[in-house]
Amino acid sequence: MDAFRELRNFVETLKLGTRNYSVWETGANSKADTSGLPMRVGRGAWRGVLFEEEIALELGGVSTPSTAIVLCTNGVDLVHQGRVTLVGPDLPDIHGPNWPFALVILVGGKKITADEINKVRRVVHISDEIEGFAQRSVSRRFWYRVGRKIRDRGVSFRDIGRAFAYLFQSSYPEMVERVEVTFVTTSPGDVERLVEIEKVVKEQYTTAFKDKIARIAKLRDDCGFDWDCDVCDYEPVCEEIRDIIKIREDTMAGGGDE
Amino acid sequence: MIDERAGDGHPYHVFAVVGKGGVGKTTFTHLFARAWMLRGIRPLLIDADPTMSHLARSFGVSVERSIEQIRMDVVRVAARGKAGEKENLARSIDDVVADSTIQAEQFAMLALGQPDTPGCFCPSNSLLRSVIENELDKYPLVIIDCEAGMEQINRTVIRAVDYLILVSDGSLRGLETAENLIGSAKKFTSYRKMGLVLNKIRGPELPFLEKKVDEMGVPLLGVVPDDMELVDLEMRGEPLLNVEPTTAAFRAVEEVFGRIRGSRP
Repeated sequence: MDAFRELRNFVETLKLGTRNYSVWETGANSKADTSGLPMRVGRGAWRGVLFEEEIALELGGVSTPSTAIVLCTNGVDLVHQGRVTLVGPDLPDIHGPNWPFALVILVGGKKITADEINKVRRVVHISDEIEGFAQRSVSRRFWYRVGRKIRDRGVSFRDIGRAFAYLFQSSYPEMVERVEVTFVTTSPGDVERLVEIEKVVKEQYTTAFKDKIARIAKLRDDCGFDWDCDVCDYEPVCEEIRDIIKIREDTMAGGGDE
Repeated sequence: MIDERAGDGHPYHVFAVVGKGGVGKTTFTHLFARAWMLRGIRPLLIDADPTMSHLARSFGVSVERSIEQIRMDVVRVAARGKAGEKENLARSIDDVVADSTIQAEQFAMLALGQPDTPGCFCPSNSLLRSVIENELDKYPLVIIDCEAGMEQINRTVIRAVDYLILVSDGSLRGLETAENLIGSAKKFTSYRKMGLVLNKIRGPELPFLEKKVDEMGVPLLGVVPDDMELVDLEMRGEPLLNVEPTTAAFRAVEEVFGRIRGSRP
């Protein structure tokens, strides 16, 4: 909640300090979709890699600040469904190899549990989901590359915002009720401030994640592996063992032919 | 409530003996089991020492096949994923565990063995626990020598322990470990009764230890002296089975036995 307020206050302050901002609304009752977007969106929408010669610009970079903050809340009313805000220049107006960039995604859903939050937050780490918009990363840092093709088609942050909103809602339709996206492209200093806020948000979620792991370890008392089965290489073997358990249970219940 | 399986109207079916390494859990378990055997009750003993089957050795028997070896077979079959093999295993695993149980005249014994798989394969724990829990039902009494720790017992052997016997020697660390084990046992089992046995006690330290146990709020089940006859046997490499019921240690364990048997949940 505090991080929410801090983010909102900061973005409002930025808006007051510049005339260069836009707010696009698709309506509180709208569902995020991809109609009319100048690029393909969805899992496997494209090959997911931009080569050097295909890049129009980079949003952030090794020495240019960038951040992506995803904040989830059960307080659905705190999130404006369908709103995309841009503070700073839009994609057609940005020139130069690297540009300071912050992406803030607010996600609202009553059913988002502490255990699921980090799963939801990971949606921001796209690979092949938004055509011509590629994520690059080095340790603990990531930024985005924009392809020439989509830039030539006139892609704007409104489109990218809608694409992210769609990805969040379509990935977790049961949980994600509202998505609001904000971009900040004003200056390195503004983005640095958001990088600081992101650290606080991250700490909050890291604690939630550690708590979750601790609880999993406690709950799954038939297991000494304190991680999620999803990341275990042996999960397919466990599936086969579950089969064996099922066959045995069926046999004991008289379902077998013995 | 009387547990019919325990026979003789005894209220407890599953005993778990826990404590710090080296405090004499296996020796106590051995003598405690023999106290039951002397009265014609044939227990199933579970040797849950993952490194060495000390309990089996104390009775002069050797383990042919441990639960962990069976678990490895389960994992191998599952990894191959052949339908026929899986089906055969599902239908035979109860017999495999039963056949791996050492059947002596006065007792039966099952050894946990050493985990030797790279992953956790937790469904295999569920499978084996279900098989073992069925197996336990065949015996009037089960005594688990828990070198492995309560978490592993809960994971691989059984969910419910009726009586938790904490064993400590005369060291403060032994008592501290026992106290910590109560927390672990509360977390992983739903035991109904608990008590502590002071083992390998020489005498002068006893009042101090009794006071400590009292402060822990754990009932003291008995004090087993540091018996030189047992030490001699061990030095000669003989099984504990050769310990006469007349030795001081055995008599002390008999007293513990009497206290437990006379108690009610």
